Amino acid sequence: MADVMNHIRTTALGAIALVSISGACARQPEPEPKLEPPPAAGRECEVVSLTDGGAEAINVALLDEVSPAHAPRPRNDAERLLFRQLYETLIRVDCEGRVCPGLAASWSALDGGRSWRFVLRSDARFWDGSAVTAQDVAWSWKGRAQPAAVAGFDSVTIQDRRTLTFHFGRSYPTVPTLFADLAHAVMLSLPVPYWPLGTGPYRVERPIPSSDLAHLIMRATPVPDESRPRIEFRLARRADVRDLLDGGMDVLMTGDPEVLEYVTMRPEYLSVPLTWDRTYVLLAPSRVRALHRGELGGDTLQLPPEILDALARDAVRGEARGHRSPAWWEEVAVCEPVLEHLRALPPAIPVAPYRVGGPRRVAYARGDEVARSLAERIVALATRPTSPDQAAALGTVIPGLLGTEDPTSVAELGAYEFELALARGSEFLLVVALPTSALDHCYQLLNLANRVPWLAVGRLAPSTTFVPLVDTRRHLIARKGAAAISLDWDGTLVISGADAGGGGAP
Amino acid sequence: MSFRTRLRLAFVAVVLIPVIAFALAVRKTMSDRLTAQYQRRVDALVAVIAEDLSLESDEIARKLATLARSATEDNRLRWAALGGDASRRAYLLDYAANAMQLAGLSMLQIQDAAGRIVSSGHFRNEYDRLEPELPELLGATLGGTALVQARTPEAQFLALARVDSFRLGGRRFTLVGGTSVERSFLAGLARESDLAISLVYPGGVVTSGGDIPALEAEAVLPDAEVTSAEATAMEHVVAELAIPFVDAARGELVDSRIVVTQRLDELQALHRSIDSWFLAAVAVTVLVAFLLAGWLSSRISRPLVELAHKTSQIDLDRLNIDFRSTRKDELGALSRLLGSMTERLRAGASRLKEAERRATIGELARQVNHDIKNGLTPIRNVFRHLMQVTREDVGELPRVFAERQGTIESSITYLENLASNYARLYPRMDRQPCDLNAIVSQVVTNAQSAGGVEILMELTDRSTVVNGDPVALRRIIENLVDNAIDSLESGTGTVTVSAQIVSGEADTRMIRVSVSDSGRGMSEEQQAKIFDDFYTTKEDGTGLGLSIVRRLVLDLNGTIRVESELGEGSRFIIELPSVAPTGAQDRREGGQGE
Repeated sequence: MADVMNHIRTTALGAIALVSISGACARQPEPEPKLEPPPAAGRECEVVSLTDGGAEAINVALLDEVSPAHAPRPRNDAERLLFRQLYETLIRVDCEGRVCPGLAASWSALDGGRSWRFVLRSDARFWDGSAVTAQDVAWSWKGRAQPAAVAGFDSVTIQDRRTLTFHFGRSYPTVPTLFADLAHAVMLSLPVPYWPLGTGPYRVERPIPSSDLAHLIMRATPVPDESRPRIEFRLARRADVRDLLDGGMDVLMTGDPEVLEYVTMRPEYLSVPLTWDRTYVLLAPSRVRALHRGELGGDTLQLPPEILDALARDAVRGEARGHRSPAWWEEVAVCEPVLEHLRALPPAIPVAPYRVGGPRRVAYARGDEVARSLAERIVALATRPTSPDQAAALGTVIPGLLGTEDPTSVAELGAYEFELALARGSEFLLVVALPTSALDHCYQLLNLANRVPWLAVGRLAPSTTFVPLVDTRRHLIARKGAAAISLDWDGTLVISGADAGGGGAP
Repeated sequence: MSFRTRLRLAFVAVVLIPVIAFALAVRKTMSDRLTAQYQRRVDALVAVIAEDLSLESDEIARKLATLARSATEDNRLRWAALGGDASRRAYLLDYAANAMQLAGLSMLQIQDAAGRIVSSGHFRNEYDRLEPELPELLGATLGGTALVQARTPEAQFLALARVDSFRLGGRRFTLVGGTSVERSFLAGLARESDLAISLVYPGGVVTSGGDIPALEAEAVLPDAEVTSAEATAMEHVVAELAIPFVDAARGELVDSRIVVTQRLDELQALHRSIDSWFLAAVAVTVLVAFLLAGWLSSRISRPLVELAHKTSQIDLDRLNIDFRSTRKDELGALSRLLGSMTERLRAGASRLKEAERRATIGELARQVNHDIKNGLTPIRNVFRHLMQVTREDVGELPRVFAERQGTIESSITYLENLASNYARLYPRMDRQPCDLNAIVSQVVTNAQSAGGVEILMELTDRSTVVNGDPVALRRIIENLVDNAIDSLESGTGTVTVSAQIVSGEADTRMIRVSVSDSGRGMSEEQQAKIFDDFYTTKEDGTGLGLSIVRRLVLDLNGTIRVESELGEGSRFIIELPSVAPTGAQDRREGGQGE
């Protein structure tokens, strides 16, 4: 009987030992990723400081049309300024390139950087007070029917209410900065004319109609920090900016040299040059065709710097410089997987490509005065003998521009028309503004390929398919001490109250 | 053609001819004056157009002069233009645009001495373009104004331009500026809707009107097309103003012209309106003339017609026609003359009648005396015989009285007949509507029942009602039938009595009764006397029958005549006025006349 008991005891102990050993040898759980701590708060990006507590309300002039239908992808400077105050991205990148928390409190790399996990802030709320969940983030982007390729990531998985993981086709050694792009801002769509629900520091009330020259279109109230000033956005698209300043506007952005000169006479205002954020390039279907045929190359690819400087100095009214290399489209070596993906796609055949003998129009988007100036100069050079060196240089990079009796003219296109012309390549020439710098070159490359498919991004080097002309920047005009204003990486203004810098919500 | 119709036509002619002649003259005068006035107005407008162009040119010159002065006083422009500061170049490049807007010009460019554009208002970014020929050619034009072809970034446009200059730091700059010449500019010159202005230049045609589409300035038209574009069938060229055109491509001045054409539709519409009113006036005049003529002719002819009718009624037996008139004109005088004539006739007739009556009475008296004597003589002879017998042999008196009684009785009978014959001479008339057909039928029936002679009746089936004394009518028919029977020799032959409807004077409805016989007939001498009193062809006739018939017929306002031929027979024709039947009766009877 004892033997039996011992035998059982031994067996049990052995089993227990076996289980213990087995358990000890089981796969160890991955160590918790080290969460990147939010960077220290810095005031290097603050361009306007608040003094004496600031005002209860700040008047901000919007010099372009804004529409809730465009949120969160800004189509102009006014929307960029407005959307930045209303909507948050997972992360922010400040003017120094530092990554700061946004909606996400922390993030970590997985799988060697091919996946990145984000944990949302516990206090992240929509304007209506509801908590922001990982599901909300994922659905926010899916709801916009954005192709995965342009989204910049392959897929997203949700771990819990506040945790989600993005999966990429390539490895990111550092946190993917594309999540700082306003296009990836988180919001809940509502029927027009209501603004989508955001998580930003400001929320908008209903539009307020007015017949004033600079009429109030919306009031943004701070959420949740009551210490922040209220922002009253005023649409003043056709107003003289000097009248706005005389009328007590606190903040606006402009590149008009007359206004900049006027500001120098107004000691209560300061003018802060923003980053060179826009590069105007020339797109020509004839050039792309010539590239395909191998008829262009070498020195004929780009304009000499002196020509570009002359254009910037003389043709453009506003602050401009000849384009400086390198630009992000010239540094796409790391985007080889993206390029390979693009090459694998069937070649884009423009729906209505420009044909020789058609109307020779140099098209630009309505409202873009810099593009118009450049288009005018190109027409002048192409039409009658003007500056021979400039004309010759331009004729070299744009096949078919010179040596014809056919008239060339400028054509102003509406926003939708212009995008259509870009997509189809249906105009002789197009003058378009591209961002001078990019958070994520590959992401921008994808956007460019999607927007202008006949550029054959992937098959032709982007730096060869279009001709950069000038870089431009604007100035921030702000009343001294009215508010604390800092800049993001792309020059976007962030308006805040007493505490302008720091991590967390701006 | 009746007097009334002639009168009407004459009146219409008398009225219309002068009126139409007058209206034609007025129309022509109005038309000529309208055309002349229109032409004067057009000439004045053309002069105004030329003046406006001149004023516009002067205005451009004044603006350029002001800009030139302003440019010399602008330090920033001076510094930028003289190349002292590249940072001011933007000011220089923008200068022309601001100046152009301030001055209200459509085109402005500033060129240096070499002809290089240093600032362009209408095309900001065409700076550094060389165009030395433009200011030279403009300066060479007479009056300093010319058309130039400029362009904006979007398209070309035509401008009326002038040139001025200024100096900065010893360097000469030219100002070329002007006003855009487009459809609205030309329309503003035109001022009037019926004038169209076209600008014909080597590059095409610009017009002011909307009907002729303005052609693109770049289009080059053959001369024939240009000419056809200038004037259509409804326009004519009233003036051409020459204006030089700067052909920069060839570096020369060529002719262009402003063609003023006048649309003729308005003037033609005015003429048509005048013609329409003229025709309307003539039509109204003709209508009124015809109506007036009809009324007047009717008023004039009616008394004449009435007078004629009255006159036609005059008869020796009817001289009581009233010709009294209150008119004071010739017709009144004529009427009164006729009246007095009738009065004299009446008097004469009365005297004649009196004489006739006396003659008749005398004749009658003689006849009565003769007849009475004829009747009394046998009676007196018998009385004398009886007195003789009474004296000589009273016993023979009964025998002799019995013997002579017959003589007395026949004489008495003779005197009774004579008395009744004489009583028939003046019967009393009792007028009432009488059916002649019925009376004729009765008389013929009575005559036929007496036997011996064939009497035929041919009576109309239409109404034969007359207004008369039935006894008189019966006597008339009886007398004629008896006479016709008596005229038949040896009592054989045919008597035909017919009644028919005929039209009398002034289309009056008459009933014609004819009594024809196949008797011995009458000579013309006999026919002339047959209606005289006491004229008879019978041995035992009194000669009063037909005279009585004639009087009776006349009293019934009728007529009687005879047609006869010796050996062939006679025909007595009576026509009496009928009592007019109702329209229904007449339609049933199938109208008048047989």
